[in-house]
Amino acid sequence: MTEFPHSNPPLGADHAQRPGTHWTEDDFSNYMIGLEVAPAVMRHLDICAACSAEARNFQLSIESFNDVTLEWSENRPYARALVPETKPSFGGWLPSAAWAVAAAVVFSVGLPMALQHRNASVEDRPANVQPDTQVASLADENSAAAIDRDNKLMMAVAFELDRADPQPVGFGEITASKEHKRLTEPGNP
Amino acid sequence: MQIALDASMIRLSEQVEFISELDDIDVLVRTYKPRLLRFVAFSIGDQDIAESITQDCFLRAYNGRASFRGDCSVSTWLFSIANNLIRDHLRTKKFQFWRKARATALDITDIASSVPDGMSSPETRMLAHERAGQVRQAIELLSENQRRVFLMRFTEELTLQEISDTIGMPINTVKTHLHRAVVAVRAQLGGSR
Repeated sequence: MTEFPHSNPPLGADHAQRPGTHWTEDDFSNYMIGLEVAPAVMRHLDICAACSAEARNFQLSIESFNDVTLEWSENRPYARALVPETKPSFGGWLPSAAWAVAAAVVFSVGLPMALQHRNASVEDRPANVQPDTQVASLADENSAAAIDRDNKLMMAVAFELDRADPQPVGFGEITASKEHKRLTEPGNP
Repeated sequence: MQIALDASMIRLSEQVEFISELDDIDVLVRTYKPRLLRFVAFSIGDQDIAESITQDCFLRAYNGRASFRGDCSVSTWLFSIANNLIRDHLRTKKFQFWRKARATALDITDIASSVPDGMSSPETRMLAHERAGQVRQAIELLSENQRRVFLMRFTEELTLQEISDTIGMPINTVKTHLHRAVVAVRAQLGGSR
C-alpha cells in the first residue's frame, strides 16, 4: 500500500487517473458514513484494488459484528412481566356506574330505615315532655323534698287502706280524713 | 386545501398506528428489544445493566405513550429514551462502581459463539468471530459520544438527522464524532495507512 500524508487534498476530478494515491481519511469516512462523495472518489474505488479491499473489509467487519451481536441479543431471555398484569378493562365507565348503583342502594334502603327509626323514637317519647326537660324532671324527682313528699303520700295511702270501711262510700261522700289532712299539711313531719 | 386535509389525515392515521403499537407492550418488546438491547449493551459494555436499562426503557415508553406525538418513528423515540437512560447511568456512582467491577462485562467470545445459522461453515464462523471481535475491541476504545453515534449509524442504521434528534446533538457534531470513530475503527481493523 502506498503511504501518503493525511493532509493530502481531497480527491479531485483527476484523482482517479493518478496512480499511487488512495483515499484520504475524509474520503473513506465520508463514504462509509454515507455522505456525499465526489464522482472521482467513486471512480477510484473501481480501479484501486487496495482501497476497494479495505472498504470491503470494513463493511464485512461491521456486518459480522451486527449479525453476531443481533443473534446474541435475540437469544437473550424475553422478560414478559414488564408491567403489572391488569384485569380486563370494561371501560372507564364501569367503576363509576358501580359506585352510582351502590350509592343508590344505600339511599333507597338506608334512608327509609333511618327515617322509620327516627319516627319510632319520637312516638315513644311523652308527647307533653320536651326532650331537654326530661333530664331536669328526673333530677327533681331525686331531690330530698320530692322523696319526702312521696313518703308522705305513701303513708297517707297506707293509712287509708288500713282504715276499716264496712260500707262502700258513695261518690259524693268521699272526704279527706283528719289524719290525712294532718299528714298532708305543710310543715308536719 | 384538499391536499392539506389529505396530508393531515395521513399524519393522523400514522399517529394512530404508532399509538396502537405502543399500547401493546408485548409487541413493542418483541419488535424492538433485540436492537435496543444490543445498542445499550455495547454502549455501556455491561450486559446486566443493559438488560435493566432496556427494561426500564420499555416501561417508560409504555407509561409515557400518551406523550408520543408521532413526530418521529417509534424506533427513534425508543432510542432517544434509551440514550437518556444510558446518560443517566453513566453519571451515577453506582455505574462507576460497576464499570470498574465489570462483573458481567460483555465478552465477544461468548457472544460470537452464537453465530447466525447462515454462517454454517467453520471457516466462515471463525472469520465472522474474528471480525466481530476486532470491531468490539475498536468500539470499546472510542469515547462515549463516538461509540453511541457509531452504533446508531452502523449498527442501528439511523440517519444522521435521526441520530441528531435522538441524542440532541447538532448534526455537524454528529458528523465529527462519526468521522473520528470511523478513523479509529479503521485503524483498529488494520486498514489505516
